[in-house]
Amino acid sequence: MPSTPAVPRNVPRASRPPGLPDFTSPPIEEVVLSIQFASLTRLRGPQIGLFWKGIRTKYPDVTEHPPIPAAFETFGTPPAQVLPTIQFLPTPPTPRFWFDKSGGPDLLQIQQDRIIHNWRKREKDQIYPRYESVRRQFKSEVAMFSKFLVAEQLGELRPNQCEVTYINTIDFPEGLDPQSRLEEITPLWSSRLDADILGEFENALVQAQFLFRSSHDVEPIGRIYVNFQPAVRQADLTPVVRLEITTRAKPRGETIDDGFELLDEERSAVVRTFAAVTTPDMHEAWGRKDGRR
Amino acid sequence: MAVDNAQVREDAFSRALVSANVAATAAPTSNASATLARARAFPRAYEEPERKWQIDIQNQLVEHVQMAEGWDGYGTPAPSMDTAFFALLVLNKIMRTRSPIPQVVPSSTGGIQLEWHEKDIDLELHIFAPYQCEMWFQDHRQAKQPPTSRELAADFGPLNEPMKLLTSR
Repeated sequence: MPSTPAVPRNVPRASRPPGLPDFTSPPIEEVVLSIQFASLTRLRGPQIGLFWKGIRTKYPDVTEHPPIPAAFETFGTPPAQVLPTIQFLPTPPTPRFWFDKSGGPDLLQIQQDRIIHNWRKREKDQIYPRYESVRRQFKSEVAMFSKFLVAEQLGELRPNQCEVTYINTIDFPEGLDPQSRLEEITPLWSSRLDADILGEFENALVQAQFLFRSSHDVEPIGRIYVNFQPAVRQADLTPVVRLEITTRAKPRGETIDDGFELLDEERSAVVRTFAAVTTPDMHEAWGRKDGRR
Repeated sequence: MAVDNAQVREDAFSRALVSANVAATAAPTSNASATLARARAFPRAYEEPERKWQIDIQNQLVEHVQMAEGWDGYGTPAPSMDTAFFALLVLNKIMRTRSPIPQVVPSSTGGIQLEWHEKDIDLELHIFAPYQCEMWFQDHRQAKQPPTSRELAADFGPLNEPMKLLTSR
């Protein structure tokens, strides 16, 4: 991963960092910013209801979903084969709450150890408002949530893992099936296969992971996960390739500013990774405008 | 559309549950585009059934998490859920087939101690909180080697050799 210039700590990033790959029409479908924090066991449904009161104008709808298991990036050992879960509690687990507005692009999710903001593309021609805008909203929501926790004496928000996910939907013009032309999309896949033996290539799931280092650290602090998978666009049942890139890492400290500083670095890593795992031909189709190929 | 969306959401969550090591856990909602039905055709090597030791240790950890504050008579808090989860995650990464199962003990600092005392080996891993750990190791068959004590944060590589010994001896 190219090194990034050091950014002064705790300085809010208001604009796009220089040198980041940039596209006129990126195939972005969804952006997810997540902060995992030390579990707040006293934060349960009734308290979440109180919090909702303050955001109900923006998010009039609330629904419950199973909580997402905690995730911690560790190193030095082989990958675990089974994801650990702890769920045998005498009381039902506090759900993950979705705060949403029908048809709106923004979604806020809260559970006992996570706060998540999703931006979702809702219409074909909807313009992605860019990370800075999504971040600004998320920062305001985290600040409000943190203030609420203190006011209700529920604990302190102490981030321990931060995550940025970009989900892209890649299609081809004129009805060409991108799933069978994966080598035109990513250099991670080569189609040098013997069709006489294997038959015609139909599709593939390509997963890769990379170590993530922040601009402050020599040792890795997290990972970047890349996932190409075949999918179908619901609106028109067109075959597409879904590219999901996630960076997850441990922040330098346990403050909210530490969390956002890491989110900024993770976003840069996701965007650079996106450019690195897609081909120059695709960049041209998406209107790459930072002058690099 | 609403029905379709619900289906996609459910798929996305299921995937997050089984593959958090390789994919996002931030619950992308995938509103407009994808169904993962076709991706499900790809079996994943890490979707193994849960092993018995994991269930036993998970139950012990949950018991420790549920203890009342002052469980030891000295005002010590119960281990937090995060610490218990981290302990299970670390164990999951270092345990091998036929590795002996550790004793799981709540510590006087509100952490969790994992201990192996067998085969002339003493190995202890004290987890104070996520990324705040300390290991202590001594192989009594290597009389010339002093015991090893070190702090661990995110890199658990130093546990590989002791676990290999414990598993193979």
